[in-house]
Amino acid sequence: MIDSFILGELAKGMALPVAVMALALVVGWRLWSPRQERRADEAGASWSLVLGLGAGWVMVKGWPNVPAVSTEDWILWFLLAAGAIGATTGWWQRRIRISMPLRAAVVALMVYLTAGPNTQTNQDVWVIVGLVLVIVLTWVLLDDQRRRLPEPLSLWGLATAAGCGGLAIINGGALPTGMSPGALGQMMGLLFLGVLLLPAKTAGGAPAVFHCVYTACLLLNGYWYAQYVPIWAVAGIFLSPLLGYLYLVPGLARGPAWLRWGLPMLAVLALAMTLAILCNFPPESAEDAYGYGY
Amino acid sequence: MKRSLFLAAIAAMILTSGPRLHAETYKIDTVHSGVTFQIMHNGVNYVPGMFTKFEGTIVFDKDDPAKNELDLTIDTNSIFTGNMKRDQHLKGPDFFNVKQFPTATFKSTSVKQNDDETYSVTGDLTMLGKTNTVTIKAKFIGENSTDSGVVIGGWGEFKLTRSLFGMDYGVGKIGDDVIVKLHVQAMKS
Repeated sequence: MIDSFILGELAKGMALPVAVMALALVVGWRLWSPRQERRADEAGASWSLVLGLGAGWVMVKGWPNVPAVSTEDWILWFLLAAGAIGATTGWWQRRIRISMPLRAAVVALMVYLTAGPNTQTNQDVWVIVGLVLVIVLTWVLLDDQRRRLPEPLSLWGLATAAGCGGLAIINGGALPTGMSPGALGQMMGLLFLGVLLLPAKTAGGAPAVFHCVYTACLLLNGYWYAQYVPIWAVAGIFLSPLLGYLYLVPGLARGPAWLRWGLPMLAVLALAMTLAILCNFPPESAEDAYGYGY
Repeated sequence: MKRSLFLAAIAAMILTSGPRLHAETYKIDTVHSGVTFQIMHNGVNYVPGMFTKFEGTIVFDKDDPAKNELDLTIDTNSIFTGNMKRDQHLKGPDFFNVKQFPTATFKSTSVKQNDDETYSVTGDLTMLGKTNTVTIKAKFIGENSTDSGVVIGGWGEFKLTRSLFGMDYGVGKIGDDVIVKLHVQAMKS
């Protein structure tokens, strides 16, 4: 049975943000009006994610300290950055001279500020450079997926990764931090249903932006500061949406639709969920004879 | 006249050669001291815990309390409550966030003597990057000469409101006020 305290936290950190996002999405997508430009849909989806996630974060963690006291104080700012970038992807994405430096700059800033005290040695600097490269490359690949895969399939991967990322962080010992990606997972799930049921609507490039800026920021916070969120879990969960490329495997392309859709969806879910469950702070031991209830 | 000068010289010698009354610095003997705390849980019970690593100094002058000082640095990663899972959770971002804030510090700003044995030590407590003023009710137990040197000892207690430091996880189920107790033995440096 789940403790009422945990239920209360989940209501503030996950149910409320999803409700806010859903309401904002109705307005952002102008669901009463069947015709709207795709760029407006993209902006509507992006800002609805910002409103929902922002409401949840402030309810659970309060307003950030200015100037920042801990690395979590940057999260809300990167949420706003993700919102602004996500709302305008239609404009900048095809301008390579803008898009690549923009991605690199935002991700580098996010990783550097999230690393906080983890930037003491030269070795740490190389770890940060490596992380930036991996995240930017993933961002480029997710945009490529968006062009080559059905949109619901891309959204399924991002929803699963965010949700499982939240579970991993909560399992790793940081409930308030983990609830936000958990909520994002549900919001991406709503977008998944939205574009599945209303094919005229789109979330555009916004979900990939949120994955590479917001989810990545929270996963890195979990890895660096929670007690048991190992790097293999963070990396595997973050990269899991790339399994969507299974949709393009030549053998599958000629197979039935349920298999072509089902295999990548199942693969992403299996990988991300397994990694999230394996995060459990700390591993059970004989010393922990009394268990621990909140 | 000669007799007066002689008496004045004797008096001056007595005044200057007697035991010097001034503040001495003492280092906290961590083996024989402790930093413990207790916090309300479910509104029915105080759950105890302690920090096993800390260090600090005391400047003590029994005759001039205004000169007294207390500096204490606690290693937050040394928190111990007797349950490994809970300790790991307490070290994480929900509570002490030890990787970003490895220490909590107290630095006194004023000391007021209440009576022969008790003092009010007011100072800045810094935790999770935020500083708030707390007042320790301290009791001086005594001073002793041992084989190792001169030691002083006493205890202190103060209450802090953890949400003021941004540690508001579980407030309601877990108390917001934390009672901290210091058991201090310190050796003259």
